[in-house]
Amino acid sequence: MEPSFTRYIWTHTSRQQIWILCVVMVSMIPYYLAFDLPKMIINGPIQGSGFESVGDTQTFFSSAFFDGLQLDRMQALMVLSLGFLSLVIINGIFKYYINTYKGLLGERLLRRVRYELIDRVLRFLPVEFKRLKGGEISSMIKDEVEPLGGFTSEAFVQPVLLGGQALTALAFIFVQHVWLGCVALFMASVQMLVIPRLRRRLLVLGRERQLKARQLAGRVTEIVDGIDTIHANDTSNYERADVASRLGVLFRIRYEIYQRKFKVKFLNNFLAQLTPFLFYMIGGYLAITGRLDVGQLVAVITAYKELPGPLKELIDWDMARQDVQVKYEQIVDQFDVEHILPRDVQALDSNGEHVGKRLDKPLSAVNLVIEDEGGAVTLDGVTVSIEAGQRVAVVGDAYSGANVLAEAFGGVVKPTRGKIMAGKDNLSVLPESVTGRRITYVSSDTYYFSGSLQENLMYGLKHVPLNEVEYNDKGSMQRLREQQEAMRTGNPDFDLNSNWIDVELVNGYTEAGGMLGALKQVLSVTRLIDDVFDFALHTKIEDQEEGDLVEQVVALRKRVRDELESTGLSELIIPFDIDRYNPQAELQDNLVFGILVETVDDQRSQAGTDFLRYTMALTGLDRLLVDMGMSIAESARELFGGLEENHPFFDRLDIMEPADIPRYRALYQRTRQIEFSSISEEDRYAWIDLAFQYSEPRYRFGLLDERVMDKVIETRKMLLETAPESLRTLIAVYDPEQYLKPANLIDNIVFGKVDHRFKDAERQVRGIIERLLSRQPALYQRIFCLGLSFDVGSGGRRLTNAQRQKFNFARALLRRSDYYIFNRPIIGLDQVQQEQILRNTLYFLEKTVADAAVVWVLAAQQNARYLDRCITFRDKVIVKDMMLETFEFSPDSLVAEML
Amino acid sequence: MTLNDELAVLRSIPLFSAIRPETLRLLAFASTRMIFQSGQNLFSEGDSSASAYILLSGAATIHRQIDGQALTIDVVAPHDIVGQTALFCNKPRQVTVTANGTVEALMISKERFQELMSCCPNTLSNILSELGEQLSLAS
Repeated sequence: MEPSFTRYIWTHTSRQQIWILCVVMVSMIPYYLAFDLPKMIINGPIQGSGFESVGDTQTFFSSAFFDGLQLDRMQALMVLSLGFLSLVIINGIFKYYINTYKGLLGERLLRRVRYELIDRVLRFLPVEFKRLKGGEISSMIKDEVEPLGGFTSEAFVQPVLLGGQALTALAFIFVQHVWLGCVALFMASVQMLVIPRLRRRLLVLGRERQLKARQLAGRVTEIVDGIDTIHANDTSNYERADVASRLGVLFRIRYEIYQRKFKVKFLNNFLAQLTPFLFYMIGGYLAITGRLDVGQLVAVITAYKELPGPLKELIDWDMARQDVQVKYEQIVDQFDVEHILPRDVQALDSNGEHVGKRLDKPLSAVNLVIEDEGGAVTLDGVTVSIEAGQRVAVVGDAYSGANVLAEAFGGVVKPTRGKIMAGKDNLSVLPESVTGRRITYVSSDTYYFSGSLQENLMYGLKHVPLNEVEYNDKGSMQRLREQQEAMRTGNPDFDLNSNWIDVELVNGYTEAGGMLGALKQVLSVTRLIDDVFDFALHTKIEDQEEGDLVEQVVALRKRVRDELESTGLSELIIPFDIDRYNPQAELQDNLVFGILVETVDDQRSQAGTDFLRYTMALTGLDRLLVDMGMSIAESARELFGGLEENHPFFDRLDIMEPADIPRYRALYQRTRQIEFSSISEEDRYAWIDLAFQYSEPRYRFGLLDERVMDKVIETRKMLLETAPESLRTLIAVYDPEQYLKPANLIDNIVFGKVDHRFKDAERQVRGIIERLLSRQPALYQRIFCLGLSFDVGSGGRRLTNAQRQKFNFARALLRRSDYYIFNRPIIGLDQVQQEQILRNTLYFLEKTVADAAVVWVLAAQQNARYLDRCITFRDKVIVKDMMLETFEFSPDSLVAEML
Repeated sequence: MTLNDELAVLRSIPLFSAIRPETLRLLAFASTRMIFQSGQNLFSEGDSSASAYILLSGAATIHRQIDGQALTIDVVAPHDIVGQTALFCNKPRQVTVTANGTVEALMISKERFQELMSCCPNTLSNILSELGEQLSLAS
């Protein structure tokens, strides 16, 4: 990258800089005219000079080409005033244009720098990332480059303009009096020399501040990424200490910057005021002794007033220049690494030359030596050749070199010596548009981009924008503008809205099955169908998105009910019924008979609570529940009375925290002897809140009698009937004919409480739902798609470890390649699953990709029998390489069925 | 059926007869009520064992596979306990117990039982002597 920022700016904006300079020069003309005109107005028409008698006229605006205007006093006043107004407007327009143009220049440069930096990050070799921290990089690209944009517009215009102003003022003083001119020049020189020198330390501090702030950003990202480790090791306080000490250092630097900045400012102001002092003293002396005209002295002092302003701004400009130069250097320093991929390795394959291009066969390592950063040999002179269509097991322990060979084939590590060849081509010179597509590498390290599961699964297919998007008039104008702007700043104009997925490259894609069919295939190979279905069942459907899906779910709900009844399993689900108490649900759920809709309106939810309490009082439920709360406390006391507070059995009583027991004890003492009406409101609702959580099957205290249940139903009905309109939206009421928006899909299908007392109740219910859906493939498909839209969370954190590895593996299988390099990809799974997935994968690739070669670094050696050849590694070299006998096997029935 | 009813059932079981009522009440509270549909197994031969079951209603057959044939050993009725050895040791299940019709049972997990025993050393020694008596009767 260009080491000097000023040169960088000039290279990319010279034409614009010259243009804006010209505009600034031209803008000076109306600017000075506007200064001159008021004098003309006052002296002329207002004070009347030149209009001594009525009817006098004067000539205005005369020039060589124009005789001028003959105007009387009133006309002159009008014309000159309007002229002044025009100048004001013209100046305003100039100012507006100049400022926006400067802004434009700055923003374009900022965009260019940012893009260039990210482009470099994308071209860094993998080894660089062992050194870099994500947080620091993002802090540099986002924050540290920001001031560079701001300076761009000032880089050349400012010094010319300010320098000109300062020189003019100085020249004027010289014209008035040479010696006083010398004094002014001397003082200005002192200012220009001393101040920047004092500011040097400020620059050092600024640099330090930038580094420390960047490191802080890096640490914050580390804390967020490593939060699980921090919790697991109880090191949060260590992290606090670290952050506090960093903040302390930053504070010290920033405070010192303030102190120095204002010290320099003080000195600068002092020097600026020292000159007039000298003028008064020396000039005064000269005037008194008669060697200087008083008028000249006044003129000099007036002219000097114009000098410190531009001078100070010039010094500030220089300071800013040095500051951004330092910042720029600091950034360039990080991004200007020695080894970086040449641009053409990642060049967009826009003509589609590489789409169908297959790698030459075979894939071979020739005398391959690989060393880690420390120089330790991890692979020692390995020569091996993988033929097309061959399926090779690679076995060996963690330090044997087996995984290093896979990493080298996958391009994760680069050869130290020797080479990797695809036929006659050296892999290192082939563009990524060939290697990245024709070799699919996957290890147990996973990365997920935040977004939907489907987006992540299809990530490996997005190489090139494949079509021109058809925009409407407005859209195409917008697109054209975006393209032009991108060109101006060295950005690419690839259209993100274009189709990036080439179905030719998708394994298992068929016209009929589409992308979904292909996804389902790889998901069944990796045994993820149930996981995705599960995501779907736990999805909350957003309003309009899914059209009539909600109606279909309500219909399915009824079919599930019918199926349960016809198979004699109706007891598995206790449905929500307006006339019945649902014993599996807590009392509160029974009362409210619906799901509380999340609301941020505290006032409304308070109104809701008030209304509930009011209705309970009307029906007399409150009295019953206070008694019930007390009885719960009594039962709990009877049970746990003699136990210590930390006894594990307290876990079963999740209605009461052990820490709350003293509170309930006091409450009990306060209220047990007194009449309901004399119990304070607070105490009353404390008991009622306790009773709200009660469920008879869970606690079996025998407290839920017919009387209470009837009262709950009576109150529920009254609530539903009398609730004011404004409160109705707070609750989504259980209605067998309606979809419950705040509930997820499975709750909507079940529409009731699964009776967990039945062995395997949940599994049985799910089995029934799956059975019913298998008869309705279209609905199943839609629900499955909901599962694919599951948001995986930042870095895939919403997935389990096993899921992360399996989905990562599925993503690799989705892509058609010549070579599949599997580096212990699903090591987090149990042996049985690993073996099942291995069988499925080999079967799947054999059926879908002609001549695909597989190199599989195995976690379990016994699985090698499924492959054609077995290479054994020990101590960084191959110790055995043999062909294996064909071993007959079959995949999962689901996979066999699909293919 | 409330906790009190369950307590009454537990008290009728000889193995627990030596446990003080208040402790037994806790055990009832900490156990889980389960319903098995006809033909479902309470547990199966060879499974790892983790809990004992006390029948509250219905009946179940105890059987085991001998030479590929299911051999009925016993039929249990309400207030009988099955799988109680799981409370004391980790041996896999020796038999299968299948519900004849709907069975309601109280499941006592080994973990909970042992937690309770570890807090009450007296109870433990009482149970041991009860176990000893059962053994001497058996022999």
